[in-house]
Amino acid sequence: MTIGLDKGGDPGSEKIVLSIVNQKRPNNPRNTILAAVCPCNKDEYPEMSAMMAIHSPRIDELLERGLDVRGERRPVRLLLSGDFESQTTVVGHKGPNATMPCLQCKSTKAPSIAHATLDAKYGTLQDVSGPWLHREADQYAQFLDDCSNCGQDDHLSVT
Amino acid sequence: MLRLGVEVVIRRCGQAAGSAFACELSEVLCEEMRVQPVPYHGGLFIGRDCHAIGDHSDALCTALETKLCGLIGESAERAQTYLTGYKAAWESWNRIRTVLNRATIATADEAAAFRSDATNFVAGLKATFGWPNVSPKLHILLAHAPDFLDEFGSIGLYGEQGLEAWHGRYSQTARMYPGETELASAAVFMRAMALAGDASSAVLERLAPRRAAPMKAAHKAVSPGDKRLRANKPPLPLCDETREKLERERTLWATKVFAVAVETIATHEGRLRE
Repeated sequence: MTIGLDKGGDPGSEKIVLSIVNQKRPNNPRNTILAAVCPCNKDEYPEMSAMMAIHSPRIDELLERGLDVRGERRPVRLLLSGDFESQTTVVGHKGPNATMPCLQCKSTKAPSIAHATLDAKYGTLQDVSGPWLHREADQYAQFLDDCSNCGQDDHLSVT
Repeated sequence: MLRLGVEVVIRRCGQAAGSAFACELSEVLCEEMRVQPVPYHGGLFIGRDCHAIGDHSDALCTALETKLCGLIGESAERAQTYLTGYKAAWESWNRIRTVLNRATIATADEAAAFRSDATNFVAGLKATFGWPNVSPKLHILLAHAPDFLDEFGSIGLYGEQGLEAWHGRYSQTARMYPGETELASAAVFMRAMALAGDASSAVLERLAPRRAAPMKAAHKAVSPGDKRLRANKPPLPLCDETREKLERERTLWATKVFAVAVETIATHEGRLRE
C-alpha cells in the first residue's frame, strides 16, 4: 500500500491518495482511494497531520492486523509515494534543505566545519563512493512522540 | 544535464559563449525534440519531455561538440574530456530512465544494469566535471534506488501518477460540487468520490473506457513519404501572439539556465582558487 500527498490543481488543494500497488494498473484513478482533500496554499506537517487524523488509526490497524484477501490473511507494507518534498512532510522531516536531507540515511548535505563530526561519522551526499548509514526504522516515530530524549545525531533533520 | 552543457561552455569558452549556447539549446529543444518550457513549474520542462529530450540527446551532444570545436591546445584537450564525459552521462541516463519510469517488474539483469548505470552516472559526473552538486534526489538515485528496485522489482509502479490524476479530476469537476466555502466544496467532492468508489459492478461497467487497445487501433506509417509521419505533416498554424509567447518562454528558460550556470561555475572557480 502506498500513501501519497501532493499539492496542485486549480483551485490549489492538498490531496492524500492511497493506492494498492500489487494489482493491474495501480495508478489508474479508479484503483486509488482519495483519502482527503483540503484547499491550501502550503503543504506543511501540522495541516497534513490534521487531515490524516481520521485515517492514521485505520492505517495503523491495517499494518498490525494485515488484510483478508479471499479468506487469506496477507501482511501489509506501507510505502510513501509522491514527490520528495511531500514525502518529507509526511514523516515530519525538515525537507531537502536540512543538514541531513536524505530520508533513508544520515548522510549530511555537504562537508562543513559546523558539522565536521557528523560528516566524518556518516559521510556526505557529495561522497559518491558510500557506504551509506541508514536511519533507524523507528527514528521518526520517536521524534513525533518525544523530542527530548534524542541526541544530536538524530534530531538535526526531524521536527 | 541541459545546464551542465551550458556550464561546460562557460568554463571553456567564457560567459558570452555560454549565453549564446543556452539560447541555441532552447532552439534545438524546440526544433528537434519539440518540447517547450512551461510557464509554471519554474519555467522548466515537464512530464514526458525528459524522455523526448533523452531520445534526441545526440542533437545536444552535437551542438556542444560544435561549440567546443574551435578550441586549441590544453583547452581543447579538457574540452574533449568534458565532451566524452557529457556523452557518457547521457548514455547512462538514457538507460536509467527507461527502467526508472516503467511501471513493470524489472528483470534481475535490468536491476543489475540499473545499479551499475546509476553509479557510473553520478560518479562520472563528479569525476569528470567536479562542480555538479549531488542533490538529495541524485543521492537517492545513486544510493537507495537500486536497493529499492532489487527489493520491490519496480520503481515506476510506486510513482505519483495516480495522485497527479486526482488533481486533474478535482480541477475539472470542482464546479459540480459547490459549497459555501472552498473547504465545504472539497468536502462535497470527497463524499461524491467515496460513493463512486463503492459503485456496483454495473456502474463500473457503464463507466469503463471504450477506447480500443492501442495495438489494434494504431494506424502506423508504412512508407517514408507517409503523411502520418511528423516530418511529412504541414506545421500547425500558430498565431503571432502564440509564437511570440513561446519565444518569450524559451528566452526566459535560456536566461534562467545561464544565470544558474554562471553562479555554479563562479562558485566552483572560487573553490579552486582557495
